[in-house]
Amino acid sequence: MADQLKPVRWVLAKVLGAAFVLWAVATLIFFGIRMIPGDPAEAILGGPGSQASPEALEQVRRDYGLDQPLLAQYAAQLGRLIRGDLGDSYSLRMPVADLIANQLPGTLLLSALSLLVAWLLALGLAGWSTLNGRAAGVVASGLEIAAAAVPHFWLASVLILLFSNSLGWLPPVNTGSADGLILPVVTLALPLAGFLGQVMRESMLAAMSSPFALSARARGEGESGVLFRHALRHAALPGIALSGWAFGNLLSGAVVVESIFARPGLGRTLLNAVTLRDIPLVTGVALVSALAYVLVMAASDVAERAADPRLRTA
Amino acid sequence: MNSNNEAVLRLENLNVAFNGEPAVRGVSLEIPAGECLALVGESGSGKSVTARSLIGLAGTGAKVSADRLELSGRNLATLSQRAWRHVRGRRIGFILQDALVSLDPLRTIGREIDDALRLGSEYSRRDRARRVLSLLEDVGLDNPAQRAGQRSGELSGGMRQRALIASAIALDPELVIADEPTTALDATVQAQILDLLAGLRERGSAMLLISHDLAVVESVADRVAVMTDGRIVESGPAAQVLGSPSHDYTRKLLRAVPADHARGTRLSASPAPAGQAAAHVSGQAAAAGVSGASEAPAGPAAVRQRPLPVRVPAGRPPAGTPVLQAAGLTKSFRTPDKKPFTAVDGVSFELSAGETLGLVGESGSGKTTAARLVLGLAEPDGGEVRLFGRPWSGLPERERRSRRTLIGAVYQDPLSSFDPRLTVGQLLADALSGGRSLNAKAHAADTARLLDLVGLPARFTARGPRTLSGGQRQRVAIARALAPKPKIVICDEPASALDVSVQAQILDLLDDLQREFGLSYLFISHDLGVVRHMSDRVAVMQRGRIVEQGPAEQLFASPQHAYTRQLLAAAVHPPRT
Repeated sequence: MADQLKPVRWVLAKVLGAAFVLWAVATLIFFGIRMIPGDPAEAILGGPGSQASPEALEQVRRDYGLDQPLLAQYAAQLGRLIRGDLGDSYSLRMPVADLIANQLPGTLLLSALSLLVAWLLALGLAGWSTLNGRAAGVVASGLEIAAAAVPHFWLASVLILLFSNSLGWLPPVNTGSADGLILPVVTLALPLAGFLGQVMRESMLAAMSSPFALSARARGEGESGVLFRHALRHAALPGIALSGWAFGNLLSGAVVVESIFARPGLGRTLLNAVTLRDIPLVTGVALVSALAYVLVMAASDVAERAADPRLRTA
Repeated sequence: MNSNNEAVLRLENLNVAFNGEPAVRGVSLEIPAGECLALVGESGSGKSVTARSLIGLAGTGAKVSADRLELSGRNLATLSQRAWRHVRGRRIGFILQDALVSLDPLRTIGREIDDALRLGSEYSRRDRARRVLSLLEDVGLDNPAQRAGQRSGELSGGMRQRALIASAIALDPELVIADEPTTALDATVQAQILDLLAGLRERGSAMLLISHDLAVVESVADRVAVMTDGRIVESGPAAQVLGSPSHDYTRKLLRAVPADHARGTRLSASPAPAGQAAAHVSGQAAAAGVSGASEAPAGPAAVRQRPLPVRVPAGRPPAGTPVLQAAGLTKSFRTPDKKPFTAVDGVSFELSAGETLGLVGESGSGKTTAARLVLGLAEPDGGEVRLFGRPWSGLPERERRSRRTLIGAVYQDPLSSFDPRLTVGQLLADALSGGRSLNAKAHAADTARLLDLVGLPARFTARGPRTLSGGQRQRVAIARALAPKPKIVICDEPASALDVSVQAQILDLLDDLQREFGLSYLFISHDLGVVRHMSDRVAVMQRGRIVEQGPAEQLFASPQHAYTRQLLAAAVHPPRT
């Protein structure tokens, strides 16, 4: 177990694990995308509608090495990736690395804000319901289940109808201003808050009824004191453990949300790239997403140990 | 009770009910300064609810009423929640049982103690830090500066209990309530904690000590009140209540303490007439309406009736033949920080047919690891276990499986060793069929026979383990262990989690079954009294080694090893009847 390894070995294990994940992602994408029917050379020249001449197709196949055997193409692709060369996008004729560098910050901002909002909603609901008795617990539980069950596309449509079309408070699509972020963030955060809220509220309730909470009350601590000084940290622990997973969930949610709200970002880029069979771009986005996921998982591992001393000694 | 102006606590006619179900009925208590009153009773008797009502924390849904609840003359009965917070910690200190879960595992003990000071005093941050250190020193923790920065998970049971006591007495409360303060502790640590509590009382605090353990009570309490079913049935000076009890229930509690009862004598009720055989085995089962045991006069019930002072060498292997031999067993583990730790170190013993070998030692001494080696659940690093003269340890499981039925086990906490989804009938069918069937109906006759053996009615087959009491669960666990007709049963703290009178019934049951089937027991316990009562021979374990072994009476009468003497000295002396 990584728990028992010294820091250096821990880092080494994480790096090796990450390398394996990246290799696996690159391999899956490489072979997976070739199962989509159609000719990649045609895609490079602008898709079936472009009416490219056979000579042009032949030229492209030679230029991109598409006439080589599949395994040779795979080896060449891996070699480029190892050198850090993500190649050029077929559809946009730009280096994939530059494209991603342009799109990544927007998606990261969206995901991080959504995670933050989800945390605040989940903890707030858990704290409120814990201090307000059984009926509040039932209400909170209902809200959590409803939120967790709602699909992003539906929630986004409802929010747009309500806050943009009817009330006119917020823009329905990205305008580049800060208020354009509100609806996408809420769309991503609400379902996640439902999931996080369920586990956080449960461990908060467990902490509030534990013997150490009784000890604290016997010392003269009030209910809100027990909540903030003791139960909150216990409630946060499973939330931290889930945050790595939640971040991955947000990245895939971004594909839908960025498209609906017409926001530039990695998700929307990925969707376009897949539709256009832009192999280098799909590979690049998938690799960067996988890398981000691995990093966030490692970070949540570290955060979990920092928050729970029992993981350090046991 | 006479009204006494010096009484720190005066409680009259306390009634507590949960959802209309009364838990405490008309309890009155009075404790003068510098005195310790012990509230004694079994679990469910209402002791803890009484204690919690005294700090206004009876629990959600509790309806509490009292004619009078006064602390040093001040009425507490009408306090608001806000006002209660000024009483808790400041004027009443509360020490809960099991400090492992009573201290927040995520916070340092320094902060837990600091909380009490912050909430109840005007000390500055720096003064509080200083006071935390002096409190830790007062409760006998070495190196307070380091300890203050540690969390409960990093401390031993005794240290945790000390830290918890420090947090409860931080503000010199006039009343200290200690709810089972030593229940989870080993004998030597228990003695130290009791000393500490006695010291508090000498500083002038009044103390309410809650315990089910009469030996603990006798060593600290001035007065004793005995509680059962929500009522106080007897109270008075400790010596009087424990020395010449006037109530039946008190006598029953006292008789159930095993320490001074010779091997082979009964702990639970006195020998019953034939018609009440079942009642004599199990007060609980009798209450649940046992029938059937008396219908088989030649069966187990008949054996059970006999108040046997003499051991009957029954069973197939002739008494005295070694059935289990352990030679030079060694087992090491790696601790999380990669240091090797030798849990069992060169342990050798022999168990003969029909014999009980007691294995005694404090927690962490390697008793349970030794049991796992014997059971073939772990492989020794060195040494050998032989079963009926044939090799047992180190064999591939394939060659052991057919002989696994020879050796059974009963653990401390049966609930966690039962699959909660199964009924008692399914649990027993599982054991009877060697794991091949969960069909309770197909094994109905055998299941009923097993339940009868352990003094439970056959209709218990339909119950789930969660709906049983602790004693009933342990009976089911014993029935399950006996299902494959073993010759040897490993009993690992089989009665440690039980109240003293239930413990007495379980120990008597084990004794009866041993006579009937000629079983051999390896009996593991940290409780010297229980081991002494149950064992023919005793082995004392310390830090993975057996430091002394010999016939039980001889070992207890003239212990040779210093550690044995230390254990015996630390064992709180039980009240004599």
